[in-house]
Amino acid sequence: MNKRLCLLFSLFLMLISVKAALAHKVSVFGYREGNCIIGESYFSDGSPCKKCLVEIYDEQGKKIAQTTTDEKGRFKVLVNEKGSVKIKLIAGEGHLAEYEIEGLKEVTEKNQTSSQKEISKKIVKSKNSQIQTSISKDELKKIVREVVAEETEGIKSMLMDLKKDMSKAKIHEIIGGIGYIFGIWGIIALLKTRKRL
Amino acid sequence: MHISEGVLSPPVLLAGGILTLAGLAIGLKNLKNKKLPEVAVLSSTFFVASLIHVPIGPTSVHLILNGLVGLLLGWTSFLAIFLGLLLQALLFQFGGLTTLGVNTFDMAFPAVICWYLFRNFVKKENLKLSFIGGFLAGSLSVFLAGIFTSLALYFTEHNFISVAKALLIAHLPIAIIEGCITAFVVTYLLKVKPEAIYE
Repeated sequence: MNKRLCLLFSLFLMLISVKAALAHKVSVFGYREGNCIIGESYFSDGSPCKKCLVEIYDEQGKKIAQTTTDEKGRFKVLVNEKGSVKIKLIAGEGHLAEYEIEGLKEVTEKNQTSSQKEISKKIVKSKNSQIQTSISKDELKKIVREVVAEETEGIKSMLMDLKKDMSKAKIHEIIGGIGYIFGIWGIIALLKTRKRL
Repeated sequence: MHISEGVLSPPVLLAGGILTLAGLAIGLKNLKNKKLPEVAVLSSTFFVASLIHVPIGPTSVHLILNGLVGLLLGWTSFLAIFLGLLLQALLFQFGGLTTLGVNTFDMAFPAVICWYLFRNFVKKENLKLSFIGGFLAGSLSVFLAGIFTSLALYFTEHNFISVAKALLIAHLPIAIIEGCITAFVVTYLLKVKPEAIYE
């Protein structure tokens, strides 16, 4: 009777206590899309960090943007920085996660585009020169970006899921950890008994 | 309640490290050969307990079981908890290596306090008293761990009351669950293997 009461009471209290997630590890993951940074944050059990502060830092460690995550732990922030940026997620109560996104490689991009441009120029010249004149480079870039964003949406969410799965504790790691603990205590026991002899 | 890396300032980390070292030294001194298997089992219990989440609503807290470890091991719980946290940091990146000292102290010192407070209580002949003692030790150690964690965070977040309040409210269900677990384990051990409690 006593035990049952105890259990019921604890269940009741668990149900009424509602507070921000407090797991032991928080992760953040993000990528660049145009001049936005899109990301997602989650705790080690896969639950999202809701309404957590996200800060974006540039290479010099200067804060350039700040936002908060939504109900699903996602965030999107406008950043004009082309260099590498660092995402810092502050989940409170001593939880912090960082993620770095590499800068856009401008030089290589330019080389590629210039060589591609030459090729495309040739093709365009030989076929129809109307397209080149009707669509400017920026417009073309925008269109390509939109199409690519749509196409890669699935891959992005897959990557997110993969990242989430990776941060979960695996059963072999747990068993391995227990093995380590017994091994270490075994060594201590061995050393202690040897000392006595 | 694992504090992540990069949250605390170096002086706090250093202080935590020194306190933990002192605790470990006392633990090693008090370590008896006969207790070794028990310490090993409780280290792994502590290691695994943190992986057990209690997902109710948006909450996601995990078991700590430092009260149980403390009640059975006394000062040696520093060794058990340190090893558990070390492996958690290495294998799952919970907490971190730099915060290991602070985290160990936050979890192990409440365990030691509860051991001093309740060890005689539990050893009483009366099983009901032992049950109550176990329950109090289990839940109080969780609350004390919350208070110590907020104290460590105070130096960086400068908001002791709100952090402590958030931590304590979130850990209320855990405190009750751990109280029950500790109480049941203690009464069970008193019935089947009383020497684990008495020594």
